[in-house]
Amino acid sequence: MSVGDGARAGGTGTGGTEEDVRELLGAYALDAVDADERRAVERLVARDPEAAAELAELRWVATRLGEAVAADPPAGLRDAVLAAVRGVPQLPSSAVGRAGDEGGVSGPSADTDGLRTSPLGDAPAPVAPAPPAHDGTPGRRALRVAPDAAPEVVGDPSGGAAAGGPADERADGADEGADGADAGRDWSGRRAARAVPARPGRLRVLAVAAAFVVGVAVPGTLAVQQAQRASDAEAAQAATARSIADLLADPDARVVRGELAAGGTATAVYTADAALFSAAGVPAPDEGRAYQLWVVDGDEIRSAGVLERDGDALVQVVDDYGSGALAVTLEPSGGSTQPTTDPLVVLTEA
Amino acid sequence: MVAPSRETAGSRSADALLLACADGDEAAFARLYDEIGRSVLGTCLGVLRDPDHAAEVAQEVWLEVWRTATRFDPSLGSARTFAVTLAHRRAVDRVRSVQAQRDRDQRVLDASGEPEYDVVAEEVEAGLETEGVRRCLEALTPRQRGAVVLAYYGGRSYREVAEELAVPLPTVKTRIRDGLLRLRDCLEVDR
Repeated sequence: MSVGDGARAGGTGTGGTEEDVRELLGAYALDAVDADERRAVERLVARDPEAAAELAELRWVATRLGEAVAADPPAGLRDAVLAAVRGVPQLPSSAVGRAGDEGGVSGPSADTDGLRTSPLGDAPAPVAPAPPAHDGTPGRRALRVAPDAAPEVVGDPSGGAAAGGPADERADGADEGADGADAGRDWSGRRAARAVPARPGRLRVLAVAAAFVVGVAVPGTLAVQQAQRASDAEAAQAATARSIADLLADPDARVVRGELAAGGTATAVYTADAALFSAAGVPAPDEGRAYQLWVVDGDEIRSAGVLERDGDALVQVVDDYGSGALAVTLEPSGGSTQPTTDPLVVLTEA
Repeated sequence: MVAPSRETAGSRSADALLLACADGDEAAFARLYDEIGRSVLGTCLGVLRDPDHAAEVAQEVWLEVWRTATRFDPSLGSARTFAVTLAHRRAVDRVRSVQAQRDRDQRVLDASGEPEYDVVAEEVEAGLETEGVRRCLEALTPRQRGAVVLAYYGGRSYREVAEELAVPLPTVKTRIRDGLLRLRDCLEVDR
């Protein structure tokens, strides 16, 4: 509702002074800002220790407000929660890994497990990780979309984000039992199928919905594993994979879903800098036509590329996302400079 | 920065538990749940009002706590803050997604509704179980209190707060920020 308003985006995104942004710290601490403002505050906090210190204080206060209304969870929630996390892998501890920590550990970093988790945990047709690299399949494509039966789909990175994200209500709300039992089952179902070694504490690069990558390695810390499997081509893919992993690992990532008019379900993961678009169950376009992705930012519409269909799925990373909505149209197969048809879906960051 | 020394012993143990979670320690996670499960659920319930929704969101939050435990840095805030902040954010996400759907057909109706502030304030008042927070909220100016309560417990954006209280946006921003800083000064005594 209150988000994605182009005029407002301009107000704080570009025209706002630092003082204006600082003034938002309180509202930010209460989750009372919109997406553009949130980004502006996060940028400020990232570069200004004073603002970071104030925010820490304000969050402490907000936490007291939350604790003041503490309430007994319903019976069954504890069990559901504990069952739900069992064996679920965790995010890498930071975007680049903690080299220092890694140094102290002789075992393989979880990064070597490849990208295994899906941020779109509850998506109707999750895009699954490709098999681990050592099976020799690290394909030419950085983005590889597996059928939703792929067993490695485990997690949901910013995960809760997916679950709690704005557009999820429709997708998730109805599916999850009030006591969480259904969600628990859902997760346990994945658990049963998971193939992730029980080393949850180690870094484990996440995959997204898409699986994108196989055998991503962290330079330096994983020389052995790299030597075993990484080709130059894979190394080139690693950067892409890494950016996807980072994107999904962002705890502030927002997930928005929508149905394509042509059929299929689209999901967008928005972070402060980039966005990931994916869709599943998408019918083949007519001959000579292609799906094209757009970033709609106020009056400005720019292409984010023609989408290549892989099976019935579409995946695209938008590096220079900035802000605005993602939209998909059908265009002549080479793509258009501006949309020539009505959008099949518009995913507005909320 | 919030110095660790300001946190209570219970808070420090929650910190240790969350750090253990980051190493995949599921037993520590269970203890963490026992330690702060009421705060997480209560935070969700405070915003959502509906016990079923609150439980749903709380479960999502706990999953996210587990998934992101590796990102927990005690120097930036306590485990309680980590979890409760997440709970509030997800609860607000839920409120807004519900609103977004409802608004499509109910915007007109809602616009004619009575101001909800009194309802929110009353419920909060009734639900506050921490004497310190109650006292410190009362110590705010009524305007600050109104803005803070509506934003935090009402899950409103500051724009919505401005609309509901019929005051300019910059005023609301300032009220919220000043109100929180004043709350901090008041609550600090109990740290």
